[in-house]
Amino acid sequence: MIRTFHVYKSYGARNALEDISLHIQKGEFIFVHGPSGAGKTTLLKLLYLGERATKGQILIDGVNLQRITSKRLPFLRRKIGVVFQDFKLIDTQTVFQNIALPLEVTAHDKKYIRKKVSYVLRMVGLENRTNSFPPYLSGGEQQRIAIARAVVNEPMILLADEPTGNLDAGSSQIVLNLLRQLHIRGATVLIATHDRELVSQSNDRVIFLNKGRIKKMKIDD
Amino acid sequence: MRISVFFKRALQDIRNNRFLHVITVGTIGLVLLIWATFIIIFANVNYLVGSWQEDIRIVAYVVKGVDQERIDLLQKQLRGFYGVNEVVFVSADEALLRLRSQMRHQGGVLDGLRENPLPASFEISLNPFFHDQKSINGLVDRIRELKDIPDAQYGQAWLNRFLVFLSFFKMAGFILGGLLLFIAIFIISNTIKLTLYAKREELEIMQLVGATKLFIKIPFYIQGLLQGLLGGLVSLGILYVLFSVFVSRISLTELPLTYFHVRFLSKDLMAMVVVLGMLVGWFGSCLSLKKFLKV
Ligand SMILES: Nc1ncnc2c1ncn2[C@@H]1O[C@H](COP(=O)(O)OP(=O)(O)OP(=O)(O)O)[C@@H](O)[C@H]1O
Ligand SMILES: [Mg+2]
Repeated sequence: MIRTFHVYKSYGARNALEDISLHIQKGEFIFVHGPSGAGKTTLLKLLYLGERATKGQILIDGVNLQRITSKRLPFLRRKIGVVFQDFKLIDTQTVFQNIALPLEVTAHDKKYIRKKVSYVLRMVGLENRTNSFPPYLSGGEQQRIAIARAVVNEPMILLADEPTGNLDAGSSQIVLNLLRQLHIRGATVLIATHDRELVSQSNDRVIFLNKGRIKKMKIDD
Repeated sequence: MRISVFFKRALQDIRNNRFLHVITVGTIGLVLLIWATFIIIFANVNYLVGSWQEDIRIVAYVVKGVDQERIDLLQKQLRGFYGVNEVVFVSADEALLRLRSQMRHQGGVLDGLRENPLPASFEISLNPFFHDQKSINGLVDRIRELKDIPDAQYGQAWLNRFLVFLSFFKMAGFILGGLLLFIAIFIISNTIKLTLYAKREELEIMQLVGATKLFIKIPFYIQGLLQGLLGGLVSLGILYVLFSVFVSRISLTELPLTYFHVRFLSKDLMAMVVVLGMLVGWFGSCLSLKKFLKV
């Protein structure tokens, strides 16, 4: 589903990622773990084409990201749900509108959108915030809205950047369950986190990143 | 469904940026007001000139003492000329009668005459398409060459000079108007750039969740068209108020123009003004979007 071949990303003279080669199977649930500044966010950016790799090749669902045309890009992005580390919510639009956006761009009908949005809002426990604006929500609430938006169109691939970064243990568990549910329905899920506990709790594959390089991959701790 | 989503986004954006949108509508409205004023002047002058042109007549005088047979023949010949529409014979007696009625109270002056001094004549009206000076002069020359017609005259020679002058003015008007449109488009695209700049993060987010460029652009196109529509309606409204005040003034002062009825823009021209506004608004949004949605 996701393959990278000797991928480099540099900002000026400095390499944020070096020689990253990965093979993530369809339907995997996988963590990218490493200290702050390791390059986790940068790796996700390359996968959803927020930025282009400096060197190397990336294939997603058979599509070569180095060669994709700007015309086809939106259609690739619809297959990928992203929970951004900084949430990237639209401040001037309500929670409902924010979450509805990925559905609106693919022309679903109003009724379906309303049903779907209120469903995911219930899943993240924020159904009473439908008409609030993001700046008036707490950090953890904003994070859950970001997750709701990422999963609302049931993407094939879910990239979650520190999805539990602002949450207490209870909410973290709820969010993780949500991601697992999506996984059970067939999605490939990739979670970037520096939360050691989150990683050690699970039996899933973990990719360790440090200073832009893959240190080791493990199946179990 | 789609359309309503786009309209909702466009309207929401207008609400969030009221001030900029008012400026934009105002700019379009002002430019269109100037345009519409030009158009109203030109349309009325055209109409006036048209009515003058319909009135163009050549008067061909007939020597004294020709018989009816000769008159019939001349009339037939005149009718045969290219460009001639209608030929009416006015006898000397009839001419005198007309003069008397035109002079009304001073008509008594004519009673002293022992003999009618006026010549008989043909009044020749022309086809509507036959209005340029060269053709008319040619026709007048040919009529003068006829036997028994010592002279022929064509009253509105000045009209052609006026028409040349008018077309010059029209051209100047259109150049000025075109310039104004460019300025308007420039101002509009810049105000839209301001709103786009304020929304750059939102635009980026929309692209990240899979919005196509078209999806992002359409609400802005709608905004541009709406602004143009509003600007057009505002300009027509203002023009109508100005027109009502202004025209009621002229009819009061009884200018020599009063036989001529000054008209407001026709429905077609009003529609044209509005469409022009919508084009300006749309074009302005196209320009700014082109610069903004590169990624
Ligand atoms: N736009 C950028 N310009 C320059 N340097 C950048 C840019 N983005 C990231 N970097 C650098 O690349 C490195 C990796 O950053 P990245 O955000 O991927 O780290 P991270 O693993 O996500 O860290 P954290 O856990 O704190 O989120 C950092 O050293 C960072 O300073
Ligand atoms: Mg990060």
